[in-house]
Amino acid sequence: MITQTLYDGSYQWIVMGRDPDKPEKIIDTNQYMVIDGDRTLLIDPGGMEIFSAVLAATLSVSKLEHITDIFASHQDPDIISSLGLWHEMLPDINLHASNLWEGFLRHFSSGDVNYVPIPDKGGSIRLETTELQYIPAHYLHSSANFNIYDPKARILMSGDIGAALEAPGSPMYVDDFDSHKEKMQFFHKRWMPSNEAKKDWIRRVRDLDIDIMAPQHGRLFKGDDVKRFLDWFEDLDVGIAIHGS
Amino acid sequence: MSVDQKNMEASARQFLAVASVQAELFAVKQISKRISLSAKNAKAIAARAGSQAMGFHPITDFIDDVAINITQLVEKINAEALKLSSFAIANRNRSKTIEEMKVSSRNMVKYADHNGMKKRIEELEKKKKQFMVDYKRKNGDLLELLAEIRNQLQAAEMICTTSRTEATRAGDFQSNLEVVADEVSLAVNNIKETLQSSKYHLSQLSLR
Ligand SMILES: [Fe+2]
Ligand SMILES: [Fe+2]
Repeated sequence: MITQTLYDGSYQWIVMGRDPDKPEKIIDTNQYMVIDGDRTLLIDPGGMEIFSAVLAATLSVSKLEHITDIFASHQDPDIISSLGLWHEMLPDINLHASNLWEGFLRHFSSGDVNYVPIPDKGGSIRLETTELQYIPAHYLHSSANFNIYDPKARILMSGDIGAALEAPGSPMYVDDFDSHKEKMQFFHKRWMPSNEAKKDWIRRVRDLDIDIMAPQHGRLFKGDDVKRFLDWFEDLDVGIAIHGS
Repeated sequence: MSVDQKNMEASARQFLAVASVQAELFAVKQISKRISLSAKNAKAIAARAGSQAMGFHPITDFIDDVAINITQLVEKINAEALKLSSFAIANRNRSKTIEEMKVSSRNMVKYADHNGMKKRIEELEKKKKQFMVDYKRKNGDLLELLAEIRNQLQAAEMICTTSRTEATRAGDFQSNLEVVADEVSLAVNNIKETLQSSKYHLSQLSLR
């Protein structure tokens, strides 16, 4: 698994992904971590199958006992089905996720994981020195769904928003937005259910100062490509399956 | 059964064994209900037979007790087997975690102490060892409960013999009471057969 530093200040943002050993039939995912002193937050740590790769990547930069928190943007297996293994290894770990998903996500662990519910309106998480914001992104695609925004590092971890299905070994960042659109189109049209939710999210995200938009699949958006993405997404008609795809 | 049990993972075999035991014990419970019904039937016949069948009253009470005991034992075994199964699931999760941690350790030999992983793996392995001890004990307890059912069945068999002797003194009701004794001993045999296979399934729960 490849790791790359996205932000290196008094704390660090790191992306882990492009796992060359990933079983073929499993969708490729980006995992993120924020290392802030003795506290490491894992963001969407991924499925069971990639647990050992993510663990090795995490421990190449953080100590085991420093991994204190996990954030799950939503309930999908590619996001968090590794929970049972993390929890067995680190019984005191805190799982931060929507209050709506609590009874569901507990199915991924032995049930007694320390669950920190996030209310619909969002909130924030304080690590050792920095504070990250939970940005509501409900219905994009999951009915209870959050992004993480770091105003200091100017990073928006956008979950499945901005996701693209890429060939293995593709670069970390979008380098040609126009050709990238194609790789995102079907996913967003089919998986995102609501134009109204989409519009509302775009309106709120336009107010944020963002250098990097970091989705859970595919390449990351940097600089002007963030705005290009928002414009493209705004014009896209989503929820197409009701017309029979 | 079309499922290839030989190549099944040990834990999967255990879950299957627990499910099988539960199905069998459900059958045992149904049969013991039948025994209790036969006992009530015998009681009614004995009442009609009056003084001729006086000796039958304590016998029917006893048969009824046996049926109740069996039902309670079955419920206890069911609950314990289920606990054992979820216990095994927890251990499976632990084993998987240890296994995966070892895989990532191998991928990070360049970090001196694998950043705290070695210690945690040791702790989890210790837990696993303790689990084996607890599991063995619990499995032994289950087999003991099964043996207790067998004791109850033996008692029921003896009672059937006594019933037949008593029936000879019941005059016109002799054949009626004999039918009841036959029903009970048939039920006892059914339970015995079922338990034989439960014993086999419970032995599958032991960890090798
Ligand atoms: Fe998803
Ligand atoms: Fe996803």
